[in-house]
Amino acid sequence: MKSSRLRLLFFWLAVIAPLSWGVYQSARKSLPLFQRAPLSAPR
Amino acid sequence: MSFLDRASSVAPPGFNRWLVPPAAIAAHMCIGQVYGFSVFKKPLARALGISAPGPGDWSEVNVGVAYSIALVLLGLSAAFFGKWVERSGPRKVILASLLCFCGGLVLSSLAVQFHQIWLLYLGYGLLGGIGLGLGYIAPVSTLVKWFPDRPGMATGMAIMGFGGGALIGAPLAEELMKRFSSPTSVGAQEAFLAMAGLYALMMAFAAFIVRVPAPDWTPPGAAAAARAPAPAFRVPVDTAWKTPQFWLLWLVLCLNVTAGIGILGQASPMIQDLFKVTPAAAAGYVGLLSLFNLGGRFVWSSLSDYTGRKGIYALYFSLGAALYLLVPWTQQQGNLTLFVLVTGVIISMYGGGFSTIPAYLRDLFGTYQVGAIHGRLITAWSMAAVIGPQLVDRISAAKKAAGVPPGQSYNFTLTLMAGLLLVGLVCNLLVRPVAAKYHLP
Repeated sequence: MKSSRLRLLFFWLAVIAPLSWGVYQSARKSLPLFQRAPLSAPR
Repeated sequence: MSFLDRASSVAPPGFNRWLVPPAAIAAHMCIGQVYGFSVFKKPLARALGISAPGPGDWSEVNVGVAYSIALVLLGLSAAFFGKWVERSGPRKVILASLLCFCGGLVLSSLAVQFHQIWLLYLGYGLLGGIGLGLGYIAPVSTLVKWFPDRPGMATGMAIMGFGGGALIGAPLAEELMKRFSSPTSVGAQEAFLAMAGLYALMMAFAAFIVRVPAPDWTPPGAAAAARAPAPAFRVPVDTAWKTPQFWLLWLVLCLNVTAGIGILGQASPMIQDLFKVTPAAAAGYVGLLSLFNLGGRFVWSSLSDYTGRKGIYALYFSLGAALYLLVPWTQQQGNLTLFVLVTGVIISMYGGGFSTIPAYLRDLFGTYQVGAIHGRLITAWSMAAVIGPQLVDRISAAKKAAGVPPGQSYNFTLTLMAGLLLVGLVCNLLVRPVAAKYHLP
């Protein structure tokens, strides 16, 4: 099987797309950490 | 000769090796779902009561047992089936993993439908766990053989996929349960079924595209071949696990995982107790740690191709111990950013420890049966994953019960984790090349 660039692109996209979705979900979930200061000063 | 045989998956001359990592990443991305299992706990604990736990509902602790069984079976199946994995080739093994893992998800769906917890243990725990073990080692050992010049990067790519699986599995399950929930269902039954279908597609894709290199194959380009030729010696698995090097690496992995769990297992309550952040911000912190974990798996392991495996583990353990001791200081300074950064680096090295270990095994024992040897070593992970959280939870609970303020109740655990890392450092420094008497002629 000779490897075409299109096949290479398709294979990588097939894994990068769900992986990116997971990273996006995680990054979105982490936003509240940066959006507000701690409720009170630590002891 | 069938399509599933190892001989059928040998790559022809001129095959581009960069077509193989997507197969390994895809397989790992699916089985990595196990790390996202916790999102099922609360819904499954109110499967009968729907809006709140009702009479006859399972407890969250009981549901969590399925996860523990799966992790134990991951280690056991990787250890027991390692030689079969090497013999059969990755295609057959990934398909076997698909049948076990996705079959386990289908049984989990039935467990919810008929409300039988033993079926959940049998499906997600036992069958699914076997699927995890098979699906974990085959792609890693395949990539190690394709990238003799960059073994650290190769194992980093595959095992990064496992970390990515957690990032995908949890929100995917949440989305599916939200979509399928109704006044009479929490949506878990349908979600398990849908995930079985989606993961089966992805794993079938991985099995279809995976290839193994021909025995006489060498990496393209003289420079790549010269950079780090694969070890010429061969150590079979039955010999490897009798060497001190195997058990030193077993301890290295076990201690690295236990120490990582010291942060991961209590990340949310810890940041709330230390910095008084909201539960939403704490959940965000957990999400951020997952990203550090993911990145560390690829970055640190790739770096090990330049530093050497022993050097990178020395860094994981020494820097990790120092950073653990630094955590209470970040709280005293009230510096949340520094706390997040310090714990993030710790978790990135925890991930790096996972992904670098197969390359370390390859350096010591050669590529001959590296998958099978890796399989036996993974029992260290299973043990740490089950015992580690128990240890951390009990220590934290005992400290709180003794009246230690919440903000200081973590100090002992953190110091203990730093100590474990220093023991790991000693184990790593004791590793020497495997004696020639263990090599196959």
